[in-house]
Amino acid sequence: MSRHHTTTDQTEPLLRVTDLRTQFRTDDGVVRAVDGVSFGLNAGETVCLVGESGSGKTVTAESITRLVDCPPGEISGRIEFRGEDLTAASEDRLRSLRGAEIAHVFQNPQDALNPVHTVGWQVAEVVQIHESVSRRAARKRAVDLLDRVDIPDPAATADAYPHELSGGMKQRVLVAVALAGEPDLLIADEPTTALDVTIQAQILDLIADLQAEFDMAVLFVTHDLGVVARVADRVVVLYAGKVMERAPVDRLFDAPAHPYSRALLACLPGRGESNGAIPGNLPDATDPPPGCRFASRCPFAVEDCHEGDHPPLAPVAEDTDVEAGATVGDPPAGSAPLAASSAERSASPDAGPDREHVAACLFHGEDYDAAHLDREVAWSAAEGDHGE
Amino acid sequence: MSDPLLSVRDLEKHYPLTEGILNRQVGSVRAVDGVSFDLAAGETLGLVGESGCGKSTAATAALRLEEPTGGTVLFDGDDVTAFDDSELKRFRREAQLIFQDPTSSFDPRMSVGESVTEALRVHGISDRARRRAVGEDLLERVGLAAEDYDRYPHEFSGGQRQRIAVARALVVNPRLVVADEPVSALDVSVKSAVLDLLADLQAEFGIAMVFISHDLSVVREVADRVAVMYLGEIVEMAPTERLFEAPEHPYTEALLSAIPQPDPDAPARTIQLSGSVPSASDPPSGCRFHTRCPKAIQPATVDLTQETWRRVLDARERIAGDDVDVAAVRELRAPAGDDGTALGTAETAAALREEFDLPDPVDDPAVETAVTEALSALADGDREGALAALSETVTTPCEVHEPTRQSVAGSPGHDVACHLRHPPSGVRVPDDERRVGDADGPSEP
Repeated sequence: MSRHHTTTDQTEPLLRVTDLRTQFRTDDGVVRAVDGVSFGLNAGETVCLVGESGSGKTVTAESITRLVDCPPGEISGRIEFRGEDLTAASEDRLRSLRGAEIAHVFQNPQDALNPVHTVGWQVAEVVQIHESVSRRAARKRAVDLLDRVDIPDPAATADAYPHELSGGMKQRVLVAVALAGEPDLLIADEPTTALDVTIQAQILDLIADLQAEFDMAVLFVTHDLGVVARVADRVVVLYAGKVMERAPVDRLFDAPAHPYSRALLACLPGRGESNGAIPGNLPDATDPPPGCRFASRCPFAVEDCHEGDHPPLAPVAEDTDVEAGATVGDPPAGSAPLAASSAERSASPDAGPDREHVAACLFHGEDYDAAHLDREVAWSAAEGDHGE
Repeated sequence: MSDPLLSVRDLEKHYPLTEGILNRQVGSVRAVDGVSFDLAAGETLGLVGESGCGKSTAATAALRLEEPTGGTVLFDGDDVTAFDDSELKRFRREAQLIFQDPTSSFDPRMSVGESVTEALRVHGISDRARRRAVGEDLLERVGLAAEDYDRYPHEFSGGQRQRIAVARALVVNPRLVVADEPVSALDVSVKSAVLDLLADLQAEFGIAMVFISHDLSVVREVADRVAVMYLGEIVEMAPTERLFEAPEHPYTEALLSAIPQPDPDAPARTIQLSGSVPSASDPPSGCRFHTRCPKAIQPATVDLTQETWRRVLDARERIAGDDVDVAAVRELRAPAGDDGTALGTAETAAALREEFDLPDPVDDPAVETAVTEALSALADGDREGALAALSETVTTPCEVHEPTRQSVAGSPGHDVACHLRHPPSGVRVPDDERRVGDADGPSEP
């Protein structure tokens, strides 16, 4: 990766992932699940890793505190958390970080709780691991935490076993467990995917409230672009282990730059135009073809797209009409009120790495014209060359 | 309108709750409790609701995959509930199911061709070559290749497997397909392809479809009409666009507001529902949604902000459900290192008021009196007394009267079961809930 945007910025990001590669040795060859992913995350900020299954988003998130089994996994690159390189950290060091400074919430709350202990015991256990306090004080803290995550009657719920709680309540308990160590970074991997929409909305609100309260950074892994629009400050779009695009959330939705991002957005119900599927399949993770990972499914692909390495991330030119519509600063008085989070977003200046918008597509590079991507194309045109 | 293909009336599916070695029945879980709908040939009805609302059970009971405990189901004019075995077998050919999980719904040791054509064999087509021809043709129809006939399920991706499931459902030329969360397990890019496929085939063969999903944006794409279920009942039914643009039932409004919009500038206006879905073994009286409804109607004697009124009702619900542990509340509100047993009645009542998020005082004098009395009684461990104190003033007409689905004025094909829209006599509907076209509201040209 040739560009370092943050050199002029005096504040270091809380987490900086540089050229992360996670691969697994299997009988069929080396699976490059994450293949050179870079992004940064500031304190108090929410960054979404978004992609379809097989994009490497979960493996990226799990590589940060080395939750992936090594071996068969191998992690390389740099993962700097407050300047400390976690790829070089010992297992002991990581264990003390996990749960304390970096906490996790996973998709399936059922699997993450121990069925033979009460939920209060499980929260208190985490409290005691991170602070030397008495059992009694730990329990009191646990009840406080359950109250914090809006569990009704927290003291009574503390004595309940996981099977006595609904899915939404269990996910709240896990958020409480994650908060027990007062983390600076919460890694949430599809935390609401297994829940009903009404419950999902509650959990998303809860995480946002707690984030504001604790000034916690959140790395949010999801495939749901609706959730992304709701929670993210910035977005990293992954495909086949590569970063396709990094953008502030409003830029991604208003002016997606990479053909893959555009296709993904076009798949959303109710977003007009094509609304078709993306023809073709993910490339083989053990032996990806040369060139851009998305080239075989991309209707804009030209010969150069199928050659050499995956294109480097190139800055996306601000499009003038987009700027008029949705950028920074001064919405005319009396315009529709924005949600709090997006108002905050627009209030922040567009300078600095927070407004970085880059895409890994040749057409955003110097030798090509990005206008090429605005042509009308039939997505099905690219279909021919896949399959058996 | 011509006769519907499927006509479901007052469908019920109750599961017995038994106790003891004699399996004495002590109650029943009313998973589906009086569901009625019609479905015309070629039409798609979306069935939506949270998990546990009975939407899948309603569909399986309508197909008699589970024996319904009440109601009638007419398929093409014939009563499905009265079918004998051979009639049922014929019916099974006409009505097919597609399931959510494309992995577990296939036998891993059968080639996909065998899976797809198994139903042909069951229904008496013994000519292997003919079965193969039909199967290969169908695989191509759903976007796969004829050569895939001899491959096994594990060789396919989730989206491809769901295409195979579609082929398997269509192999017997059904007139009705029930699709139970058919795309919930699929990625967004694959999802729309499978939906397109279903729509194409449906148009081509004129199949009627019941499309069950918790994902409202998907339902909006595929359904002609949508029925919203809550706790075993349909609370609202409307043509799809109408339902999304102008929902009438507060539950529908809440459900729609919870969908995350793929637009970062869209204001998040989620309507928060109190509590969780009540047990279907003991559904709330009157309108089943009154325990969570943000718009539960205030009795004529009470004048509170709707938010405060909801909190008072929530407090009552929790007391009634024995869902508040007074000792635990004491412990939580007490200073550190103190378990709170020393707190007196007044302090405990104040702690309980805080626990219930109630203002001090509640704005309505009569309600405040009742709340004060109830909290004191509860602080002294007298739950019955607390409930009795509340029973006089804190009741909503919604729990007294059972709403029925009635048509919405000016909106054809739209009906809703809500007292706000069709108030029983003597029930006062707040001004901001009156709809254009209501009896005493202003009328529109």
